[in-house]
Amino acid sequence: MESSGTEIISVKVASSEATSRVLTKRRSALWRAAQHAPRALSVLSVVSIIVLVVVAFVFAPGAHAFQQTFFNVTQLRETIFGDPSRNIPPIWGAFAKNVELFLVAEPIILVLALGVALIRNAKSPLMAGPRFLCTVYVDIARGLPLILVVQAVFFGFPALSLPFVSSRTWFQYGLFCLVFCYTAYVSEVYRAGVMSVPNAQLLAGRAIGLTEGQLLRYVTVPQAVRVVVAPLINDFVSLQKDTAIISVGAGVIELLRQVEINEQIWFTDTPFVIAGILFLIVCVPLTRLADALLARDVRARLAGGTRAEPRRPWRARASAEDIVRTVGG
Amino acid sequence: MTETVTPLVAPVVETRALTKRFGERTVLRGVDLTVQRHEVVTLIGASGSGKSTLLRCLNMLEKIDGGHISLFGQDLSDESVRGELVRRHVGIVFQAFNLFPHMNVLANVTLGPIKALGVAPEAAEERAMGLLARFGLKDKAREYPDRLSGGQQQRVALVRAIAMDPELLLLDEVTSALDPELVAEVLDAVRELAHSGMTMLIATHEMNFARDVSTKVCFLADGEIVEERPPNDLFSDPHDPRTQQFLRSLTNAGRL
Repeated sequence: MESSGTEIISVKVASSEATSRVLTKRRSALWRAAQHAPRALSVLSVVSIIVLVVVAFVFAPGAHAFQQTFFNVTQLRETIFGDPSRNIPPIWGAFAKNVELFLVAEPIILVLALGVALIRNAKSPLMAGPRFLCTVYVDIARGLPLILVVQAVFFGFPALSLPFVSSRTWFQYGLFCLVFCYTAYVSEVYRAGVMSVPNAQLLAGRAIGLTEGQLLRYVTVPQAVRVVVAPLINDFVSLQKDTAIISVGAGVIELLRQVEINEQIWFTDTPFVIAGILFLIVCVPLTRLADALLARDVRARLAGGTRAEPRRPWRARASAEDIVRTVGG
Repeated sequence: MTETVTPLVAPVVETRALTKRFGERTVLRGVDLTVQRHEVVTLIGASGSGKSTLLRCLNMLEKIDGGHISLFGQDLSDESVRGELVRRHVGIVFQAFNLFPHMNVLANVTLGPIKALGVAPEAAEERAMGLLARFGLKDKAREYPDRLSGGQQQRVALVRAIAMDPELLLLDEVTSALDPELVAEVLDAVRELAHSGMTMLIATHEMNFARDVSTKVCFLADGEIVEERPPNDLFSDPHDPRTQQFLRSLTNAGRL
């Protein structure tokens, strides 16, 4: 009896030793470095990635040819500032066309898309017709590649010989294509926003005697728009890039068309690099903005927990109190 | 002198055989309830007994499936009765406050008067500031709801409802979502309203509050009003076995 009792105790001791061995494992030097100097380590990490990329470009076997084709200094200069003797205009004029298309299309899209979203969300039987029309439109416009729409409009509309439709400028045709395709996307973003407004908010609005129209205007739409600011900016970025697709319709000498013309003078790809850089200059800040707003949004929701936390991404910078609240839970 | 004449003023609320179903489930089965002017009637009963649904039927946030409701003598089944017009006279405060998060306190309170009642903005703001001061919220007028405690939010919701100058106020378990230490401030606000003569119909789980604020207590179970009596009678001498059972379980839980 006694001996079996001792055995059990010794087994217990052995198993607890085994457990303590399982709980420990040697840390790597890298892990320790991350604990002691996290900032230095992250700088090192970023720098080494950059160095790696640069080395790959400089020491690649075809590095010289690559540089001659894509980063030819003379051609860079001539593409940007133009060369009257060779009939090359400065690049700004062409790029301004893209920016102009974007700036004119965007407000039109924002307004039309809100209309489409509200019609698709309307519940009245009277709205069944418009709702059906909008659903069909969104399905078609979202399903068709922009490049096909451009082909159809630029070659189809003039061929129709209709009084108003067939006598528009190339710029207006381009604008129409962008608005046609993007209104569908943006209306879906709005719709998601509208559906994200809690039912309790609608009840509260009705409780103070608002009509359904007033409810939409003062309660639903303001909250929906705030939720979708970041996704909307993502669509803006896409739209800005897609202005280049208008070039296949000819007629409009926008950025991509202009660099194609330059490319056919030199037969190198340097002009395309310029086009890429110009698009990046416009799009990267927008992408960063969308990211910052999304991060804010996520943080606000985390801080809110189960309580109804309002999302206010339009306050671009977090105040000190916000940060304290977030950290403090 | 003539004999005392019963005033011919219609009751504020009168329901007859009110029935409400959600799909297969019957939530209200034949509710008869009368609330007179300046009365404070509380609805008590277990969760799911139909208290909230009854309140929402009264201001037409829910459609009814049978029976009749009349408010101020007007039958609500008349097709020319409009929900939004009813709700301009019948305020409601919800359990979860439901303040508009994108507006500050003042805008929350003045939205209804300005947009639904057509009051001039300056007048609406002046009145709102007066009401906020009365409920100890004057310095919160420019704050957004997320900066307020639950108790403050609920008092704002109360002010938002009474800013409409309602003739009847419905309170739907207004303290159930609050931390215990914040309950008192909201109940005090409701008490003050009761003393000022506001006609109220209150669904609540706060029995002591129901006892001292109400003129009549209705115990609901399974979608019916089982017992309907003055508070002291109902709490000290419940007649129906279901009421007795309900009050006993509250006593056992230390809530009464």
